[in-house]
Amino acid sequence: MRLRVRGAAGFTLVELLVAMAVASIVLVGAGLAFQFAAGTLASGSDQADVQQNARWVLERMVQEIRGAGYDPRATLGGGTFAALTSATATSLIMQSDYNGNGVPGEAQAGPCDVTTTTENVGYRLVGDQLRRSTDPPAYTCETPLVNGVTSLAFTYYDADDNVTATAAAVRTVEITLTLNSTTGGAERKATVADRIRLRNR
Amino acid sequence: MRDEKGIVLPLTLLMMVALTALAIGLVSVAAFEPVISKNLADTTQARFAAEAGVEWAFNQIAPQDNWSTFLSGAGVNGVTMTTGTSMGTLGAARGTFTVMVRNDTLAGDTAITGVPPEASATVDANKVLILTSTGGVGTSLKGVRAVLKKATFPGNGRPPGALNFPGNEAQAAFTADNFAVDGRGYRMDGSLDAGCADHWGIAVSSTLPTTNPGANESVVQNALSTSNPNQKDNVFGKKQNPLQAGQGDNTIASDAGLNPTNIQNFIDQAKNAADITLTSAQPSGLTMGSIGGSSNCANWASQNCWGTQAQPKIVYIKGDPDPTSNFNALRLNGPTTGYGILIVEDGDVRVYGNLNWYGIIIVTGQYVGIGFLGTTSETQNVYGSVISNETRSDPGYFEGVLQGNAKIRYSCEALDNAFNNRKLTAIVGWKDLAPGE
Repeated sequence: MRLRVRGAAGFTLVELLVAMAVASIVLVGAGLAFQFAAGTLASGSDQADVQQNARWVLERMVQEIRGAGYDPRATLGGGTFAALTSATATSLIMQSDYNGNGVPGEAQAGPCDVTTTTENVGYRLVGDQLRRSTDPPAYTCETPLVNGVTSLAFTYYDADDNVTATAAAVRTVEITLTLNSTTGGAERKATVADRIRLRNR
Repeated sequence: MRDEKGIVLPLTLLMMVALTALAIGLVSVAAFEPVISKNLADTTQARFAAEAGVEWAFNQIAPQDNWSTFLSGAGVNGVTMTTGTSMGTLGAARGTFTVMVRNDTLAGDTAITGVPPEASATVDANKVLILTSTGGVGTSLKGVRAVLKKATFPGNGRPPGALNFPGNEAQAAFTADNFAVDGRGYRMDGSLDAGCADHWGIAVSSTLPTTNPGANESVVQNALSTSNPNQKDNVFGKKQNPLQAGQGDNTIASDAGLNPTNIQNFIDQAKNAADITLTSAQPSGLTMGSIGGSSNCANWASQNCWGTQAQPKIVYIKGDPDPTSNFNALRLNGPTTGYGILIVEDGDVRVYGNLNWYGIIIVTGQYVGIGFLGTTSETQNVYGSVISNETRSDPGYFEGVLQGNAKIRYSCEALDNAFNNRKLTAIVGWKDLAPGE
């Protein structure tokens, strides 16, 4: 007796092969789309990270440099001491007198704490690492702010807006910072720049 | 076989979930970045708005003589000067600032201002105020603190006499009988000013010379009687002895307000704020012809415009110390008209021709003196005050010479006009405030 099972007509081999081919094309397409989207996501995220790091580091420096030379005893004649004590292309040291005792750049009281605002602050490039120190030029109390710095350039200007190499004459600081990230094998770059007039000089 | 439908549906769903997750990830990265950027931009803009608030407050306060008026109703934390103010013609969306002002009365304020705190929250006597400005853009807020300091003339803010010798020496020479040194208060139009109390005709240091403090009083008095006994009558002013005349020796006094250190401190600050700075070198020095007046001051910024009544100037001339006391750092040939503060350091000043000065003339430093050397047909008027501050000792050389028609008349109006120059106010102690600070 021949039994006829409803709905169990089956597929021919050709039908199966065609279906598999079509399914493969769809899956490969979807996979490629997935891979591309994931790559784009990672790339965008990395670029955003490196830009964000650059901005944060720049803003950190800008805020401190802007207030350099804080001097409660200052008069019309300006501050009673130099705002910057060292000014090179890749490093600077600034001083202030936050406690108003007339002695700028006093050493930090107590153990090293790189997170605090002290009367003596320095930034310098060591290898590809930008570091902030609260006891320059000894640099025994220092923390890295960011890695992957491919270029850092401080340019200094005096009161007449002429480039100067004399730390005591500096009234404006220009910073150009380039960060590099190679996460995932791809290179991401971010360059940020700012020009800061020392408010206390 | 009814349940054997294949995996197309689950597979499709899985793919859709994965792709949706990726899409959400991409969109979130793309959306998050502008938010970060906007926050950064808003914060930066807010800080600039806060700085604009400090500048706005400076513009309000600096030209005023009495800073206590800004402290009306203030507590120890101060009083609000303005709230939610836009920057010029920019709309509020571009940022607003709110400014608080307070007097320096808190115990820790010395660390902010560098001077001892005052007692009253509503009365400013030391010309030091603390500003706190908060800038806002959207939800971003940034605060800036700054200190306003004004360089004030030591003592009560004005010199104690029409002619002052705060330095080591006060050797003077007076010729004929047409000159006048008048400590009574005048307005700049030449009328007497009832609101300006009498000051000394001539004041000398009470602490110098160190060998005989205050002795310069008699040096000046003696100089007035050597060539003409009537000359003393040409000196008017506040009376040392209220029962005696307001002329002559009774109006010539030593005054503790002429503190050499404080005066030098004021001079040092004023010359740093000078609108015009000139250098004068030996042997010939600096000779100036026509100064001031409507033609020279058609361009206020001109080097030959030494201030106007509406915009007085600070003019500083740096000389060259000459131990022989012969060097003229400045020779004014006239006509000279000026408003403000004229400071000449390390050399003499010789005034010829017509002169009208409204404010203060200060000759200071080593081997210095001032001579009003016009003729009786010329006009040489100073409304305000003259200071000759000899910091060295050069016996036999004059610190002050008046001849011809020279008139030095004390004027509170002219002095206040000169001292209210906004360049004498500085913004110092500029500090970005941390949240909650």
